Amino acid sequence: MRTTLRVIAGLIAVTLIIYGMFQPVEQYTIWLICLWAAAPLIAFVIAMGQPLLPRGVTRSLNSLGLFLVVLFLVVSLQLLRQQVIQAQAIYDRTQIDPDSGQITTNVRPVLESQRVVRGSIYDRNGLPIVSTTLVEGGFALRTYPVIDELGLDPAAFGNIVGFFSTRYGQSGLEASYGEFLSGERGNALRRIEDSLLGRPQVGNDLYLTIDARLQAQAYALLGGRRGSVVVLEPVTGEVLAMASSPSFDPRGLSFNYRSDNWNAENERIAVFWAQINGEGAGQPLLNRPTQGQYPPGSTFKTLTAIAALENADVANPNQITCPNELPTETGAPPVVNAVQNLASLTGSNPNLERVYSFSCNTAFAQYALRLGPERLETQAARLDFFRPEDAPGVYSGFPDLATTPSRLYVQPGFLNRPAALADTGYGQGQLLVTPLQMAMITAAIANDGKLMQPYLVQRVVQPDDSVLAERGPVVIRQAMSPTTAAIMRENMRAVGQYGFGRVVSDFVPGVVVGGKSGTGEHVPGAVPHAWFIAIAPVENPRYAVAVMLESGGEGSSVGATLAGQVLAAALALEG
Amino acid sequence: MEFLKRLRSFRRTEFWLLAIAMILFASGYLQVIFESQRQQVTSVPDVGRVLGFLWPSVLPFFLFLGISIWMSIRKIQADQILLPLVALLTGLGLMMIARLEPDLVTLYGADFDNVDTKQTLWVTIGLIILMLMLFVPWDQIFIRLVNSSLMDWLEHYRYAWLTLGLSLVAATFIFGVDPNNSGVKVWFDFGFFLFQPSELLKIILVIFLASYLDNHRAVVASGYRVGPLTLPPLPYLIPLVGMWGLAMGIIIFQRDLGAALLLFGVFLAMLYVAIGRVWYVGAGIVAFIIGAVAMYHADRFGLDSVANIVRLRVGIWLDPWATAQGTGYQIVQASYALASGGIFGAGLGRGIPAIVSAVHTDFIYTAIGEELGLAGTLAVLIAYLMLIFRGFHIAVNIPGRFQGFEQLLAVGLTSILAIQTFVIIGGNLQLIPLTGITLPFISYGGSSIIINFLIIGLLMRLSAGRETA
Repeated sequence: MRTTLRVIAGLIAVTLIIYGMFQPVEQYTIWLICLWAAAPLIAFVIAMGQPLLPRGVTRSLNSLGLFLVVLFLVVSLQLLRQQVIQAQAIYDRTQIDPDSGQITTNVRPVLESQRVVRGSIYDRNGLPIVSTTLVEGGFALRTYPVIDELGLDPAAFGNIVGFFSTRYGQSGLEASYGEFLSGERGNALRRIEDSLLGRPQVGNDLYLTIDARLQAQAYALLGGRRGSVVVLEPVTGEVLAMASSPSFDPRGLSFNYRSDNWNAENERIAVFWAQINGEGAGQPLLNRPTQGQYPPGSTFKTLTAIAALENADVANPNQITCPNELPTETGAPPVVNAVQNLASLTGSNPNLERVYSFSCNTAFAQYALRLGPERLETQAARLDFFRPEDAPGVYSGFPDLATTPSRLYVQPGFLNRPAALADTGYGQGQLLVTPLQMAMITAAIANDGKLMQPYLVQRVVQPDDSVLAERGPVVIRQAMSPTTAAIMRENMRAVGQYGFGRVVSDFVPGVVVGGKSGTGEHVPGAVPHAWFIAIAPVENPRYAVAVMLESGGEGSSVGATLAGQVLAAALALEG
Repeated sequence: MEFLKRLRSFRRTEFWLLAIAMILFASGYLQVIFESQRQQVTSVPDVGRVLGFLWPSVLPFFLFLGISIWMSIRKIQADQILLPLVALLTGLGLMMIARLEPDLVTLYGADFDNVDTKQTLWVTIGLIILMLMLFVPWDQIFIRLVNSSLMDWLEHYRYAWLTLGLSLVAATFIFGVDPNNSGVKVWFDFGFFLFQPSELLKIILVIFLASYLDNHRAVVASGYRVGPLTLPPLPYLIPLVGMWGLAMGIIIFQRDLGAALLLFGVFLAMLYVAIGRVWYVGAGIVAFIIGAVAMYHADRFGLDSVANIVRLRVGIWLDPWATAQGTGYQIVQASYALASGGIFGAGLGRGIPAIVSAVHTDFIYTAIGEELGLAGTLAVLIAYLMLIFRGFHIAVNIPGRFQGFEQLLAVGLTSILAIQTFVIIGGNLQLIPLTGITLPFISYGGSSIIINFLIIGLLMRLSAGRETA
């Protein structure tokens, strides 16, 4: 009987303690009730196990001692919860006061991060972009040798490497690869050793796919204009350059522990932060290649053309006309070409190559109407252009940096209207795409139809030079047949040779360039967005380029020029 | 032969335990110094600086060793475990305060300059008091003067002690000051020294209660019938009601929840040991809870400020996050500190425990938790448990004939240490509402250190038995 009661009481006590201890830290009262309810049960279990002494001082002292032991046991259980079981949850607990907006958070992670020797970031040729220097007092100073050692503008890299600030957090690779750079991931043994020996925590180095010199030139070619340049290696998906303008100099947010006046340092950083977040700064913290969303203009005809080729039986790509106007449905304005009397250029009996190279809107509107919404959507989906109902919150095809999914349209069911379908076919409608996604289509054409996952980080290397993680080419899917891809390369070559956008060839004499221009109307009456996608050399492409200038003007002139300059820079660096 | 006799009386256990504690703290200090040097901008460790940092904290250790050796020479048969335990806890306190001092100065200003040196002074004074209690032949002096031994004298004048205790309480109402804006006026300002009379009150009340309860031990627990209730016999009812009234009075008039809880808890422990009836203790606890609940709703009786302070404490206990930037700040920061410690702690000098305000007094346990981890906090708990059980061991093993007064005195003194430890650690750990009392031997503070050494002195004297003249 006694034993049964003891076992039951013991089980209840253990259950209460385990149940309470694993409650979320916000539910503190539940744990408190469980713990204090378990205390008398524990006392009962212990007392029942002791022989009954005769009444007297010894017995009283035994009971008193038992009472105190139980109290101290309760303290120990609380210590176990606070210091081990729930320690991480308590350590990370943050609360924002709803009334005053004051943030209560643990200062320890911030103070510790000031002393972590974060890993360096190198370009594809091993040139250092970001590094860390230990200064007096054991503080780890984030440095940018890209300026000191290579003389390149750190702002060109701001959108990729991001900033590292103990006050404002991190962005770019500093954020997405934060756990690798700080050393929290990988080298667990070494970290324990470092902490026992009081050595600073050392992080892992990143080796990128970008070419620092090309990146700097691409940024310089943007020349302060708002826009993006993306250069991909088509076969692997390596990102060779990804420039965003305007950008920011990450040194502006890096605390200089060498300074004599830390208050002035804090002030300098606060001013810089306010400045880059201020109106008129042009959102330098936005990584336009992956987060900018724009109507792609005529560059989208590439996707319509692919769909027409893949569904040649219904779309008849080479049976096409290029009228000046194409009525779609009653009440809607007809589709018109950007240039009057385009048929004189496309010829009396045009084919896909002719209407593509002279960017005939009415022709591509007809393709879209022939295909119908489903076929267009299917091909778009193969190239990761999403319907609104399928669009994820974050595009998973490029996990290295925060990326917005590109959308075929915004309102569900939009393509069911013929006018909307026709507009989408030549690149207007409700299309919202990122420059990266256009570069990916271009690369897929260059890569025999295989859509590759772009990537920025090729290797994570531990302090002892062993490789912690490595990335290679990853095929997302075969997005079009190799035949379609080959025909598209010919179509793009036609653009570069005689079509709208042949300017691009002027910058790379001796190299056959393929491309497609785009002029994206975004606000009626405003200067349109200038786009250009390009591959070079067409026979065996080594570069897939997408450039985009916000309100930059005509794609066939402004866009083609920038793309040509970027390609020239890339080819010049090959030598 | 003479030498061998000496050797037999050598307090070997005590001496070696003290030596081990010394080695422990020598390495601890080296770590603290190493860390403070490491974080200096110019890290040139020079011997002078290190010694200047070290000597004040080392001094008490030689006194501990000296006391042990002197007791060997004088053949005093006092308990051999108490002194090393006290050295361990005191040393830990000195080490933590030495480690915290530079951080306290940086964070809270020059008021905290030399806290470690001051703590060393208090510990030294405490040790001198301990020596006076152990080595002065008090029994002989008292027999010559008042014709009774020290313990008899303490036992005999119980109502004098009661009067003294009550006048101390009364005096705090009149002369009490509140130097650090804690909201409670429980200090006497002697100009050079702030004294907390409630510290002394603890001992005086324990002496009175030991004498009183021993004197009434023989009363048969017959009780009075009042309607359906059976009340305890009058000799127990009076102190029960009286102590309850005193505890409630301390809460109402001094807002000192910690002292009230401590005094009442010690009383219940002694009452239980004296008469061995759980029933009375249960009644006492129920009465205290009823009183506390009444305090929570004291605004209904026009005692708004009492209700406010009780509600504030309970609110902080149950949800410090609601006022994380205000009254809940300490507890929230303490929980961060403990969580950051993990199992083995950040290492001495490598955490930032000083973010918790009052970390050198009320919250020193969280500093131990942050830098020494669960291993450190549990070790400290075990050391206290050993100290407490040693106290009870002394109570049941007092040499000579059965002496009820001495026994109850030992129980009472030990209970002071036990309950005080639980109340402050429980408060730090958010187990019970936080009340501002010190962690015995570890926390910074003159009154507390001196009174705790007085308690240890009395316990050691009790364990040694009466002097044989």
